[in-house]
Amino acid sequence: MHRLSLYYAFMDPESFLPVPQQTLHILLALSDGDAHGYGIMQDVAARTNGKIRLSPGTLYGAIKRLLEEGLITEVERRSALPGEDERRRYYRLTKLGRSVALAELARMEETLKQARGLGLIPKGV
Amino acid sequence: MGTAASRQEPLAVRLYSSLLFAYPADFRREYAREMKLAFQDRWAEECGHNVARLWLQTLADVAWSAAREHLDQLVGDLRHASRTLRNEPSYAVVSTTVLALGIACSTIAFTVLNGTLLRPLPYPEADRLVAIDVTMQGQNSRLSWPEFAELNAGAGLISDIGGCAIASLMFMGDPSPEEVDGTEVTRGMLSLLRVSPVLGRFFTKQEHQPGGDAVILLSHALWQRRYGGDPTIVGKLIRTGSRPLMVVGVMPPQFGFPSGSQFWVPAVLDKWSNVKPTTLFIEGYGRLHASTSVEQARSGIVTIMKRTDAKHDSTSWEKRIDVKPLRAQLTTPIRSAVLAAMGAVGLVLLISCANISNLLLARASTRRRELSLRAALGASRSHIVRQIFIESAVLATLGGLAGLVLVLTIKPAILAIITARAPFWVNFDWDRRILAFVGCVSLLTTLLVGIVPAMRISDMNAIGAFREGGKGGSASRGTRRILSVLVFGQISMSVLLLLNAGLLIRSFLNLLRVDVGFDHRSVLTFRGSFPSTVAPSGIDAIRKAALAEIAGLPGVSSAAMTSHVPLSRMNKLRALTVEGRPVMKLRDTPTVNNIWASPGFFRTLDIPMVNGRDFAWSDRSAHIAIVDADLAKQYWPGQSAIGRRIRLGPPENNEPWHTVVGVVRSARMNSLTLAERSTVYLPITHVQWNSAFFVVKSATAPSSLTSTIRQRLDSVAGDTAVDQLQTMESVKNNVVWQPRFFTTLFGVFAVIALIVTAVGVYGIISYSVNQRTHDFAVRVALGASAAGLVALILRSALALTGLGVAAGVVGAIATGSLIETQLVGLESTDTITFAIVCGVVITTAALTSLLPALRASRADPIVALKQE
Repeated sequence: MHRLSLYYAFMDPESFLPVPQQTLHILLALSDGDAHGYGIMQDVAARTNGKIRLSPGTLYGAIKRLLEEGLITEVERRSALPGEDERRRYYRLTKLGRSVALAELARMEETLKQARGLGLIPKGV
Repeated sequence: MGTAASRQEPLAVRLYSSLLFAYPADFRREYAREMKLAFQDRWAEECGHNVARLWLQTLADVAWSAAREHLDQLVGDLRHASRTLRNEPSYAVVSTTVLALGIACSTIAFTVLNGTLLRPLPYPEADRLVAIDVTMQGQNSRLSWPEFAELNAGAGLISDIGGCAIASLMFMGDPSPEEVDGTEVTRGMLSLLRVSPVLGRFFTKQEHQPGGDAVILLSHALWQRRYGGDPTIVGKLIRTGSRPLMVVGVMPPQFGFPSGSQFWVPAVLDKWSNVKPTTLFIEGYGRLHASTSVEQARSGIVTIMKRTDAKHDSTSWEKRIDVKPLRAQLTTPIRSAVLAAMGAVGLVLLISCANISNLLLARASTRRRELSLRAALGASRSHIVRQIFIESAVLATLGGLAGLVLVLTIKPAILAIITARAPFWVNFDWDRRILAFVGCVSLLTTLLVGIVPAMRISDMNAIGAFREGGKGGSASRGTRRILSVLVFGQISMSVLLLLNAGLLIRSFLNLLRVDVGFDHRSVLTFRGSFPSTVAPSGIDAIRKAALAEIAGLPGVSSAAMTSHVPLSRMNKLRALTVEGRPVMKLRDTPTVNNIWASPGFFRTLDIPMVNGRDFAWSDRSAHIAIVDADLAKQYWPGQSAIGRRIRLGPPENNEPWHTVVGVVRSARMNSLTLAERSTVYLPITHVQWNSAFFVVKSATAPSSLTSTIRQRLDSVAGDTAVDQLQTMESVKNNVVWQPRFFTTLFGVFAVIALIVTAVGVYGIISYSVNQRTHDFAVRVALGASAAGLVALILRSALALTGLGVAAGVVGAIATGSLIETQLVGLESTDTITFAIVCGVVITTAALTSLLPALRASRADPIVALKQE
């Protein structure tokens, strides 16, 4: 059962921070466009060079929570592209989800800036 | 997905599908297909390499994520349950209170059960300890010396045998002389218990020999009380009435084997062997070999006892000798009462659960709009059922916690009553068994409370009817039926409890009304022990002077002495031979109570002299006796007993004949409850004990007399110990404390059950009235009177109550034999008790039904119809 996301459109993205790493990667995977579950798994694995491999249990548990929080939404079934199974469910990043992803990245950027300032990592990395 | 399609799936995907059953049903319903597809894709991608790693990752993923989903669901359900209860505080408070009462009562009853029947005795390997249980003519008895000697010599299956005999010593010195009860113990008796002294040592072999050192072991309580816990007490001499004794050790706290003993002295078997062979004075105990069972030991003992009987045929009483585990022997007197109390409390808990179940079910059906909305939004049957159970679990947890708080508050008060009179080995402290019991009871409560509403709600037809808002329809009727069954169950269990409580109460009142045959209302009693410096030849003069002093106290009208306090069950039993009657073997000889009494005894206790005269101090050692009227009637019917002769003790002992000089009215001298034997009184001038019981007829309260009595007795004999000062009324109350306690307990449980059931009846009538608002509105609109409406509602309530009462009565009759033996003066089917209880229950049900009935009769029919 998915909550109505309209309510969440007015929520403050900062209230979702910090975002767990796996959740952030799911949001990033959907930032390019709609995807189904396995598509998200492949995208995350490719972007992290295989370092993060989402398994179905973890992925769909996260999808369930993201749907409840209104950060993603399930899209209407669309006609299948060649090679795609039209029975699959597709997910789309909501405005709130995009804002949350951006807020998290900004938080990470700020942390990185502080680390550079302290000399923990070289400037320019 | 059809079967054909699933057969095309790789085995790995089918295996993965079966793993998905680890997830909650709702999650599975939503995402299982997608998860399977995702796994299928990954399997296709990685098949052929890294298969092991894939499966390891998959298994770990399923284990972790399934657990997380279950936890998420549980947290969600708990939040929902808490929100529901917060929105209906009165329902939450009532339910929690009812459950707390049920759980608290159960926990206290279990604490008593645990402390008396379950907890191991405070001795290492206590399950190997046995007692030689002796019963004579239906009463507990002891072994004679020949029997004990044979046991000691030949009990091969029991590794250690020990014997105990009652002893009494007068402790002299500060704070004041005190007569203390203790035990003579054979060598090895205490060590077979495997409990060591906290100070000092046990007795040596030499100390058990004739002429051995005079030594004593003190109890921890006596050491603290009289000697201030002196750490250097070992080796010191203490003054007693007979001779100084050297303290060789102090036993651990709470140790008082065998029956609250305060000291132990070594038994000298040579001295025991000089006691008459018919005197029963030894308690036998043993420790079994590791490989011996109680049954084997029992058959061995029986063989030995048969041999003893054959050897000492003429001097053997008819006795039953058994070997019992020590725990069983100690707990036999209270076992049935404790188990009965547990049964009663179980009923209270069941009634509480049924009550809350009622409330949950009624609430569930009034929440049909919420349920139908949730069902429409996709909530599954299992989801809703699970939430019912979570709600009942929250209630049970709150009830359990509140019950624990209640237990912590009232347990000390209740247990203080029992502990004051309980044997020393009883222990009511918290232990893991009690905590586990609270946990189990809360769990059981969860199940019992939730199962009926959950089953009802899980019926999809019911949910469908809920969707259609079927008020007054089949769902409503079905729910009403189940509610009625639950209330029927509550009423019948309450009636069963109330009937048992009522029978016990009436039996107890009968017990209190038993005519003891003497005045117990204005009589005091105490034990007076004169110092050992008083010579036997001068004891009568001291006694006479002491009684004169006591009789001269303000408020005292009469005083006398006796060997035994009436009703204390300590009377000496002796064989009776009547002159002119055939002499029988000992085992066939009748027995009588034998009491020694001073002049004035009968006057003090208001026991009228029917014939003849009282004892006089001038009787001295004359062989005379006074008998009671029952004995006189039995042996000399229609004739005077005066001048007749009787003999006490085994015939072959050739005790002197006693001439009967007086006949008194029969009285209960030994026990309130046991069948009473006749009593033969002998003059106290026959015995030269330094210690005896005083009976004093006085209007003054005993507590104000203690120091005065001691001073008066000191003035006569010096250094006299005075203890056990109490009224005869108090003696009588002490005798009945156990039936009083359990009767009170049953009474309290029964009242709680009645209150909870009344709440249940109120609940179902209210619910029923709510459901039939439309029906009633139409009736009123068509001309029905308010009185008629009230009568209609009351009739249905009383019909249900009548059925419950009938079932409870049948149950009480069926189980009546369980308490028959506990009842005094009435039977388990006593008509008056049954009539009173049924009347109370029916009246209570009628009164609790009246409120909703009146409310329904006053409702505006137009408003009611509009609301529909």
